[in-house]
Amino acid sequence: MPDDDLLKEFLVESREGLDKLDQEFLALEQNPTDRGPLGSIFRLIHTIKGNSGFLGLTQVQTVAHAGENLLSKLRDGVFPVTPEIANILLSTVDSLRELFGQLEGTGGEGDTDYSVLVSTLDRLTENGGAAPHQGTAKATAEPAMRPSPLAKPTGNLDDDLELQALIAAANAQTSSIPQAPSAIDQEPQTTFAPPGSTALASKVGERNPGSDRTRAPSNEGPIDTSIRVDVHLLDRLMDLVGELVLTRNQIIVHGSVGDTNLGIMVQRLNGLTSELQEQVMKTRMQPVSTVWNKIPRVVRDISRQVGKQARVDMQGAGTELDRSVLEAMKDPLTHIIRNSLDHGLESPAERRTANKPEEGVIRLTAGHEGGQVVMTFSDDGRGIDPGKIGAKVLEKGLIDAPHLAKMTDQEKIELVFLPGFSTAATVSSISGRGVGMDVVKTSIERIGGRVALSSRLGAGTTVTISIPLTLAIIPALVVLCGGERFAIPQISLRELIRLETPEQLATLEMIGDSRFLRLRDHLVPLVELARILDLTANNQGVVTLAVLRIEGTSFAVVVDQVLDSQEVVVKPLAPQLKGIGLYAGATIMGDGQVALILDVGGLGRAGAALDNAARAAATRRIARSTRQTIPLLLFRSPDDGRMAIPLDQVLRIEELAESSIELVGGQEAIQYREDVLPLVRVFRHLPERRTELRNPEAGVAPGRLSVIVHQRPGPDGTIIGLAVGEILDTIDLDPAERKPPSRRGISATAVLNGKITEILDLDTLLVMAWPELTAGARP
Amino acid sequence: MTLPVIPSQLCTFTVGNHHFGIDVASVREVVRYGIYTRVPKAHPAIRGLMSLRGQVILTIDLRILLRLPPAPPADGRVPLNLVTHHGDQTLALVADAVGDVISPDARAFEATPDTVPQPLHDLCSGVFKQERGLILLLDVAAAALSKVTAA
Repeated sequence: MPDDDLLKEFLVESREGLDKLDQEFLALEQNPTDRGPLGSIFRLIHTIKGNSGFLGLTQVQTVAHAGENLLSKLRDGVFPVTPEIANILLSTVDSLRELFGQLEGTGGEGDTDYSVLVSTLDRLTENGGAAPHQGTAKATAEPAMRPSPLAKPTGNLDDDLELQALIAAANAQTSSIPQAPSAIDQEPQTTFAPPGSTALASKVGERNPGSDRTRAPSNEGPIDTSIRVDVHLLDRLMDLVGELVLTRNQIIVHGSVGDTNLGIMVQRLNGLTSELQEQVMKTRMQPVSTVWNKIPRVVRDISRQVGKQARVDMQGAGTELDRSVLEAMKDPLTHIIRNSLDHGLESPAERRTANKPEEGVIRLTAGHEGGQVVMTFSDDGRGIDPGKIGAKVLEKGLIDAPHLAKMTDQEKIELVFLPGFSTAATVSSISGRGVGMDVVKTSIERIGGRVALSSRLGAGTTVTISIPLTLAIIPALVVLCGGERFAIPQISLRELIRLETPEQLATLEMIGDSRFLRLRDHLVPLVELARILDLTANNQGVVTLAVLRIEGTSFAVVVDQVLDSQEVVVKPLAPQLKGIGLYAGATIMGDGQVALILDVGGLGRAGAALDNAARAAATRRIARSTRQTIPLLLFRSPDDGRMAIPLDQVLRIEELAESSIELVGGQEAIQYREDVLPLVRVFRHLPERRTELRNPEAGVAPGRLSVIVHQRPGPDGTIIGLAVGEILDTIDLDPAERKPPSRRGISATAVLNGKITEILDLDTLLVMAWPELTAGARP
Repeated sequence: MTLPVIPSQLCTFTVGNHHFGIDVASVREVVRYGIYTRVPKAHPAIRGLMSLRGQVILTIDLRILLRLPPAPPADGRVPLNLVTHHGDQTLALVADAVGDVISPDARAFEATPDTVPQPLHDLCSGVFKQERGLILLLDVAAAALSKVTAA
């Protein structure tokens, strides 16, 4: 049994080496004559062999030894690298990984038999496999046939500058400067480096997976200058630097009076502290290549599995991100790549028919944009067909036909983010298990990022992800409420509104007992921070609103005062406070005191629960109000009809889960605020007469119920729930426009927004629904 | 119930008229500090968050946890915080006064008697019998359980 520490060190080192090898192998496959990758692969396997012998790991040693033999022949150019050889070398790496996994788990090598692998390696070492595969010949011949794109004289000053910029960026390999992505996008055809391209092309480094840039870490150089550091130590350093910054701020205040010498020293302290802070922040950053490096191998494996040809093209792999953000990116990334390969790219035959090269391209870019890191993932595949998406969504019942009909192509494309969506006709092992883009979206949003999708039919699909540079420091809005300071993450902030004059305050509207803000023809529900946090608001009649948007919903948070906008260092929340669900973390303010960072999602949820703000109503257009009119609440009836109920009969609007319905003596009811809410399905009593009833509660998400809560007049004030369609709007009815009722249960009809609208006669409707209830309670 | 590890050295402190002890090894420092950021909706015993050299520390008021009245105004000095380690977390406990570090006789240790009333009983992992009265061994883990208030 080898020494534990030595073994651990061996495993860590070897694994890291193997990860880098994946890149080398792929570079090798693309350019079988390049000795560079062969050399580093050989060196690593050699080291593993040596160390395993020293540690007495015979299995590892045997496999590594056989691999080394073959590699030494390849390195010496005795025979070329064929696909067969590349495959067997990859299996060698996989087997070594397996063995390391065993060692890590059990401390022993396990009893898997690797003799077949070893004998294959030995056989190939003997004869180099069959005659060189034709792929090799093709790969070497190709550059001769295609002129090297970068060498071609352009005669265009801009192009030349771009070229220089690219080369400069590639040379400064360790820098994190984004590399003029626009320049590359303009001429995708000519700037791709064909496999085995010239020296110039490979000088563009990371554009060609596994070339200079990605190989650099496995050369001896960088290893000598880096050490391993525990992340917790870095976190602690961040804490201390934060404290130093605070102390400096206090000293600046005191140091600015009198003594000039002290003033100079304070200045220096100031500069040093800022520099230190910046550098310590950098220690937590890692280039995106740490996550991207695994992709070429994933692409290679999956594309073989699904019988497609694909290569990866990367730009901006040096862009740096906080390690916690990178960690969170891993899974979404794999999902996106899998989707591209499985659904996006066509089979080689299809591509030929479509006049595209057989080999598809998956392109990854990363760069800085407005304080965020923007990553794109594109493929040149078939693109997303909005029609197909629509059909699928209808078939799955995720959305109804009238809704779909109104959607633009872009909106239809974005339906792939719906939970439970999967377009794959057959469930494959790669993707199409009903999870995918919605998971990508949630994971990215969880780290404060955004996902956008664009696609052109026949030309390809691009997923764009923008994510914050770091989770450790975020821009935030500092607000005051009930005498306490709170930080609101800027990323969710849409705008700040201050309502002071009576006219301004009139833009607030009551629906039931909830307040809404009328904001550019939209109703935005108000969430009163003081009420949610049980604080006493202190605003002197001025309403200060922060309009926030999260998970596709907007709401306006009422605060006492907006103090400041600043970068805050996010500190994790004590476990005792996580269950509250209203705080995302804490931070230390300039004066050394702690402020809580609000969880915008949690706030929205708490606000909706408290204020019963119907999301549907909130986002719909509202009409201009005029005097002497009857305000109505408009909702959708089956097949996109319109019905309305006088607003003064509405207590609240609720969206409830269908599953919460219980049957009480044959009557549907819902437990609601420690009360029982009997439910009337309006369309059951007032059915759509023209067509067959397809979707009784029109426009409401499946499994959800849109419920208008109505309170009967009188002392007992029984509450009743009216299950209706999607709540559309509030609208004012001019009494003169009223037309006679169409049927029993309707008090009048009117043409509103160009549609015939039936206005409910609630009393009659309730008699129709429950003769006994209304007759008994209200003789 | 598992028997607690009996600490060899205790840091003693008082809350109301109770004498407590806590393993000296788990005490990081004792600071007089009174600026807490209130955490709305949290358990009432959570006094708030304080900043100690760049760390945000949750502070638990033992008086409230023990359902004692707030400290009398005459004692209205800056609160005394015992900064302690509890697993990975650093927690501060607000006490009335801090006493000596003592090396108790392990033979004087016994399980918390049933006569000790609630909620005190649940906050102790045992007692040390002394010549004059008892030193209650504070169960920091139990104090740290002051989660979100349900109400």
